[in-house]
Amino acid sequence: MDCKEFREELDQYVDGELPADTLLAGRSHLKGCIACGRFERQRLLLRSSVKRVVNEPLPPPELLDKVRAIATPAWRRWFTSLSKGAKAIWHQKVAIPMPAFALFFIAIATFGIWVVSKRTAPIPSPAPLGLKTVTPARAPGGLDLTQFDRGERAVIQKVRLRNP
Amino acid sequence: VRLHWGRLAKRFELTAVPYLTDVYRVARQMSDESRAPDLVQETYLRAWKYFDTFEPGTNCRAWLLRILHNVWTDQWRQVRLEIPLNDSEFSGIEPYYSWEDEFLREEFSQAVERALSQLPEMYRWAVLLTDVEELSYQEAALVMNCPIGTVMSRINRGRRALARLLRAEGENRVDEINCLVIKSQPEG
Repeated sequence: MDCKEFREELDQYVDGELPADTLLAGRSHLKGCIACGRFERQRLLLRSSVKRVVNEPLPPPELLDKVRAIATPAWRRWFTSLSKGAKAIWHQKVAIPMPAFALFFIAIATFGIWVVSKRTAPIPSPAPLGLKTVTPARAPGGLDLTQFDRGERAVIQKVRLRNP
Repeated sequence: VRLHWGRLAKRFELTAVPYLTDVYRVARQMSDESRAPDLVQETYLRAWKYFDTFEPGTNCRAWLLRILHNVWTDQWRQVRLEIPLNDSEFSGIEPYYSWEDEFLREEFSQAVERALSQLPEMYRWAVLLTDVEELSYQEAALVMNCPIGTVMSRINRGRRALARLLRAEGENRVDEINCLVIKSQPEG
């Protein structure tokens, strides 16, 4: 292999794309040719420099998230975004003006007092539909249990009467 | 269907997503910094769409780069007037340039970056695929959808054009340094 042939094959030689016999011929030529050796070194330097320059920029982190989201089902994406949003709201600090906060506090306190007062008041027992609630003494034919057995003990028995 | 989708998504995550950096750096060289993420995203969208056609065990990086090339060709290729390089410039043996001695390491990286950006796109693709991604000529041909002979020709021309551009950068730099030296000499 002479210099012309070697330089024509230089790219394939550097890229390791030559067949074995041509590769051996190129190597043996390089041993005895300083000029071709300089060409080879320069081509290798150019190759490594391009690789170094191009390797420098890294993809932005949000791009990785976007690419991962491509293969993620829509419902899972929606759920993730929802949980992220909820988390963001939960951790958010909100500034409320003092008068507004005082009014809100008074309103809450009033509501609380109203609820408590409603619960402590006696709750009338609901009457069955179509019937009136009356005291036992006034009931027609009713018995006042306080007058019967002094209100201490009363026995109520259910008796079935036979028809004459 | 859901299970199948889940498995496919898992395989996509394990097989294709790890090559994001490789795809991004080529996209970054073939477009600009602001458009590269969109180009990558479009590439992965298309890859996911046709992921069931990908054969496990084959080179996924080359497959993704092929999709990137297709997306770039379809939508992103800059419609601009490129001055065609004269074929006669590439005939014969390239003379030796000693440009590597004219730069410091940092300056050299910048000069290479500038020279790469000036390289015609087809040559840039060939140089990036073989020098950076270290694809074989066969794989590069598959990515660029052209015969191997065309790939070899583009690599050769691309590298020689890069060397010439670097030489021009080096000469300009030497001229600038000479001017600075002349200007800084005391008068009289």
